Formats: sequence, structure tokens, C-alpha cells
Amino acid sequence: MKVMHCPLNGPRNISEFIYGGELKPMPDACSDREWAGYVFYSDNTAGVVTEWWMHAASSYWFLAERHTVTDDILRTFDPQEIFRERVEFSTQEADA
Amino acid sequence: MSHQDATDSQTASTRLPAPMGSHIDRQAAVEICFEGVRYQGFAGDSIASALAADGRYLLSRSFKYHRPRGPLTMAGQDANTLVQLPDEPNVLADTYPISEGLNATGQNYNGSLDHDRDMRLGKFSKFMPVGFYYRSFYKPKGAWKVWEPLIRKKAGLGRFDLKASGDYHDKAYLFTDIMVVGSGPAGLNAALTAAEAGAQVLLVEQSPLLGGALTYARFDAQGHRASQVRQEQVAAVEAHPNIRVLVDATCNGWFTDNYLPVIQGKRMYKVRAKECIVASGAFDQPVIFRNNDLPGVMLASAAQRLMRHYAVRPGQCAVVLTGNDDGYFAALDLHEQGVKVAALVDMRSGPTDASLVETLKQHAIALYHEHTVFEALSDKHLHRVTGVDIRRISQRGEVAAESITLDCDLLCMTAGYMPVYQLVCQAGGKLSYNYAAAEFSLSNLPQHLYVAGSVNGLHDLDQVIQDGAYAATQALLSLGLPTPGTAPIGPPAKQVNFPWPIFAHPKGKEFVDFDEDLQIRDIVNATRHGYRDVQLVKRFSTVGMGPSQGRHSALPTARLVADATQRSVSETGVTTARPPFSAETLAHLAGRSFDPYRMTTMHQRHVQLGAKMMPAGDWQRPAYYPCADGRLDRHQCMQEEAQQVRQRVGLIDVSTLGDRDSRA
Repeated sequence: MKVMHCPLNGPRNISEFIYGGELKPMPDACSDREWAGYVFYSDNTAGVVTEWWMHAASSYWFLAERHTVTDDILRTFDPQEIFRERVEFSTQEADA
Repeated sequence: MSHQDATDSQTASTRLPAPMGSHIDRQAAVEICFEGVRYQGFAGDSIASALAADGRYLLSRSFKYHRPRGPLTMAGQDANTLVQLPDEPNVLADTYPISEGLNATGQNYNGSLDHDRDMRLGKFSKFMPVGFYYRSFYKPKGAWKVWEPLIRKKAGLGRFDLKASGDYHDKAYLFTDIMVVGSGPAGLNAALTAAEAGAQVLLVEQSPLLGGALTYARFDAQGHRASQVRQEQVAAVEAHPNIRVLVDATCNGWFTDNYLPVIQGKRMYKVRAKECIVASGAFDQPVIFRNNDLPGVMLASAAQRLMRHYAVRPGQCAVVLTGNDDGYFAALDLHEQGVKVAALVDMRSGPTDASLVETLKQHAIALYHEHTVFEALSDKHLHRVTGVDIRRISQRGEVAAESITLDCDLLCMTAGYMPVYQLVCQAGGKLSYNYAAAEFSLSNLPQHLYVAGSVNGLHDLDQVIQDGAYAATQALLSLGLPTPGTAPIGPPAKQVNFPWPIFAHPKGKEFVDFDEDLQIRDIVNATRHGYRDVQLVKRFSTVGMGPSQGRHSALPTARLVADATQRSVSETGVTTARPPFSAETLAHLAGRSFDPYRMTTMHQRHVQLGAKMMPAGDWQRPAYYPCADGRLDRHQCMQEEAQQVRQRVGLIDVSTLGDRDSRA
């Protein structure tokens, strides 16, 4: 079984982790089509991608750089490296 | 009583004197029953060795033709010794330890093991060519439905006792810096080198004794080297505080990032190793000639194991057929233990170490160079080999017409070695065939995995020992520990494989795969039906599908298929190796595993106040608080608590129901 290095808990079996999809910028106030694209579509890149992962036992979300061809996990890190400040989303309803 | 006394003395006298018999305790006699006949063995004997001590070699009937079969490897690596215990089918008699009153029977026969009425199926083998079932019973439409139950009845192996009660099995978890698989000379030295440098080492050995080939093989004409090396190394390993040893334990697979299941008795260890050194050794390979499956025909290493492990004299008069110098050493072993060696038949033009010729002459052992056994002879029941037909090799795979016939009751063969590649190939290792050495070698290993010793193509004892240290050095480097700075090993000093130990006979029955009764023509015919890929040859002919999983058939199959399809042996390759390496029971997989045991922050306080705890999912929660004077039972206490909550006030800890993150 593969080992993943959780930035919070250290090396753990991959079965303790849940995959959360590729890291993509979340659209703000977009159309339904754009939102569906964000939620359901992935780039499926053959190469190094940055992904969301969660260590299930501690509910800790973090980011991992993984090569999708070799399945090598190159780096895992706390999201604070990217998300340094609070993001305020607009409250208005998107156009139907 | 008098009968038992007679048996005792007979058994005692037929066993060889110490130091033969490293596995057995001669003070502890054990009686077992096989096919309704009683046999006397010793504690430490396997079923097969206890029977062999009394001259019983016929243990089973082959799968397809119901031919008599006996021990081939004495190492649990072949299907010839599968027997039935009352509550367990398909037990390997050559490794299963005996216990008082053990009652075993043969399998897969109609009538009796010694006289199987289904043996006539062998007579029809001409009319049951490879792929026979697939090609013959599918017409007309629906015919397979009629034939299938009849064929299945003939095809099953062993009986399963549906009323058998399950045993307790469990799992355990281990973490280590370096795991070493196999405790032969390479594994022992790898473990020692790593432990000396400060690494925590787990050493896993399949058999009950550490030492691998050092426990049964011979490495020099005098015959002292193996025990010397073994004594030194094993004493150092056992005394080392950094080494944990698991014997009678099999590493049954390789999974990503060195996740290694190790089965020991009724427990499965799931080992996570930072580095893994595979020193799994090499399988002795049979020579392929007519009747190479008769009881009494065995690998040279099997005869050596019978003597050194169990003090059993494997026969009275032996012929040794070899493609390397190890056969000469086996002949010397047999001679020393009082077996008359009628002839040593070397397929090559002479030994690499020329002094061996002189040594054998001193012991009056007849030598035949560039000869082979063309056919093993026996009575019509095929119960035991009675002689050999020796011919001169005229060209690759062919023999001259003149024959020499010799009597013997033991035929030892060794055509070379096949690395025990299974774990390494599961990890992504590639096998390529080296024509000069006539041997498969491993490459393309993933990070944190190393091979050492004969699995790495080295067979000279000094090189094997050094290779163990070299693999340990690589692992230590990766761990960032200080290393003794061992240099890599040069080219192999010893050639052990004979390039074409395959001799077709006009009357066939030269077995390539003993499990599935496949002869040379079965493999060649599969390629003529258009199955050129070795994976397809496997599925069409069933080669390598039996319990031994191609341990002895993969190498000759690769050579035969390559030859028949005009490709290289590397291109042909062997079929994919998948876990498990050896048979594992469902109980091992289903055995008790561990659940989280979670305690709330208030847990200790509850316990101090006398609360009775109960599991609620993973969490431990109080079931009730017993009353102080013990006047009320569990139910009444709960009732009282409910009353209290309804009429006055209650307190509940619901922190287990949700998660909360506190952030600074």
C-alpha cells in the first residue's frame, strides 16, 4: 500500500486519505455552466498536478503535487502556503 | 508393543548419524498414519521426511494422468507432495510438520494410492492433447453442460470438510528500517551489515532454521565451508540486538512502498519497511527427460535436504545428473552418507573446477561427460525409479543411439537455477535472459528495493556473501546511515545453468510442468495452434497454473516457446508473477483485524467515578453508573438515570458526535 506524507500527521497509509480533486481557482459569481465545469470537469493532465487531499482520520485538508503518470507524490503541503488570506465571495445570486 | 519396538529400532537404524538431521529431535518419537499405515518419525520431521525414512516415496497422484509422484524439492515448492488431512486438503507434505496421531491420506486417486484405476488415463494421453477439453466438448451446442460435471469430478483436488471449525487467526503490524527476505548467506550478511550500522532489521526466513542453502548444500570438496559460515553468521545474527528474526515465516507479496505481508503460522504480519532487501535465493531446476516425474527422481537439493535436515538416506544406489559443479558436490554428499553413487552424468564436457574429477575418481564414482539421462526406468506400476538409460548428447537436445543402462533407486538432477523472482517482479522488476549464462537476471528495481545473492545471479559463496553486504550498503545510504563502503560485486564467478537440459523422447512423458502433467510436445503444440505469446501458451496449455506457479516450468517453457517461435528467450519471457507467493488461506486474510479504540477527554474521569463503559462505534462511552451499594442491576440503574433526567437534570457528553477545529 502506498504511503502518503500528511503535512500534519506524517507518513500514513494511502487508505487513510480521501482525494479531493485538482486545485483550480474557484469562480465567483459565474453561470451555472461555468460552475458545473468547475465542479465536474478536470483537466486530466498527464504530468505533475496539484490536488486536494484529506487525511480522513483527522479531517485535515492539504495539497499534494503528484505526477499522474508515475503516481509519485512529489510534495505535500499545508494550504496556507497558497491561501494566505480569507476569500470573500459575493453574495448575489448568479444569473439563471 | 513388540511391533512398535521393532518399528522404533528400524527407524532409528535407517536414520543417518548426526550432524545429519538438523531439523529433527531424535529423543522425541512421533507416530503418524498415512493411508491407514503407521509410521514412526521424530519431532521436526515433515510428513514426507517421516515417510521417506521408512522408504515411502509415493505420496500423490498427478493431476491429469494420475501418475505416481513423490518428493521433488523437499522445500514445499512443488505439487507432488499434496496430501489430505482430515480437515484440510492440499497440504504440502514436504514442509508440514508432523504431530502425534496425525492422519494423512493421498489425494486424487480412484481405488488406492498405490493402484489407481484412473492411471489408464495416461494411456490415452495421445488422444488428449493440449487444449483437449476446450477443443473437444464444445460441439454440439450444449455439450459442455453435459460433459462439465463429469470432467469436474475427475479434475478436483482434495476434499474440504464443510463441518471443520475455524481456527483463530489474527493480524499484527510491524515497522522496520530494513526488511531482509531470506536468511541464506546473502541475507544473513545483509542483515548483519545493516544492523552493525545501526539500522533496525527484520529478517524473515521461510524454513524453521536460519541459513538457507547453508543448511543443506555443499560449497567445497571437503564439505566444511557451509557449516562454518553458517555457525559464525547465525550466532552473530541471533545475538544482535538490532535484528528481529521471524522463522517459519513467508513474505507472500510485495505491495507499493514496501508494504509486505508476512505469514507466520496463524498470524499475518503487515510489515512496513523503509528499505527491503530480497535475498530469496534460486530454485534448483529439473532436467527434462522421459519419466523425469517418477518417485525417486528428485532435485539434487531435495536429496541434500533429506540428508542434512532429516537424516534420511534418500536411496541405496544413486545416479546424479547435472549441468553444473553443484551436482558433483551432491554426489560427494550421497557417497559420504553411504549411498552408492552408480554414476555422475554431466551434460557438459567437464566440471569448471577440474579437481572435482580427481575427487570423484578417488571415491570410485563413474563419470560420464556430455551424456544425459534419456529415460528413467521403472516397473509397470511406475512406483519408483529402478534404473536409467544414459545416452551421449549428440547435439542440442538430441542423443546418440547407443545406450548405457544402470540400476538405481534414486536419481538426483540439477540443470541450473532460476532466481526466486516473484517478489521482485511484483514490484516491477524485469527479467531478461542472458544467453552466456543461460540464466534469467533481474533489472528495473524500484527505489528502496534491492536484491542480493543467487536471486541476483551470483552463485559463488564468497560473492554471495559480499553481495549481501553490498545490498545492505545501498539500503543504508538511502536511510542516511553510515556505511562500511562495500564495493559492487564483479561478474559472476560461477556458471551454473546448462543451456538446453531438454531431451525429447519419441514416446513422450518428459514433463515440463509436473503440476499439470505437461510434456514437451504440449508446449510446442500450443505454439503451433498459434499461441505464440507465453501468456497465451499458459492459458491454452495451463503451464504454470498449478500450485507451484511455474517455479520449475517457467524457465523450460520460455526456452521451448522461444525456440518454437524463433524469438529470443528475453522476448518470450515468463508469465506475470502476482501475489501471493505461496498458498494462503482465506482465514489469513479474514483474520481479526484491529478497530480504533477512541476515548473522549472525559474518559478517565468516567472510569474513576465507576462508570461501566461500552463501545459506541469507535468511541468508548459510559453505559451507566452503577449505584454505590450495588443494590440495583444494570437495567435498574439505567431506569433510575432516565427518571433523574426527566424529573431533574442530566448531563451528556456529545463531543463524539461531531468534529470541531479550534484555530488560534
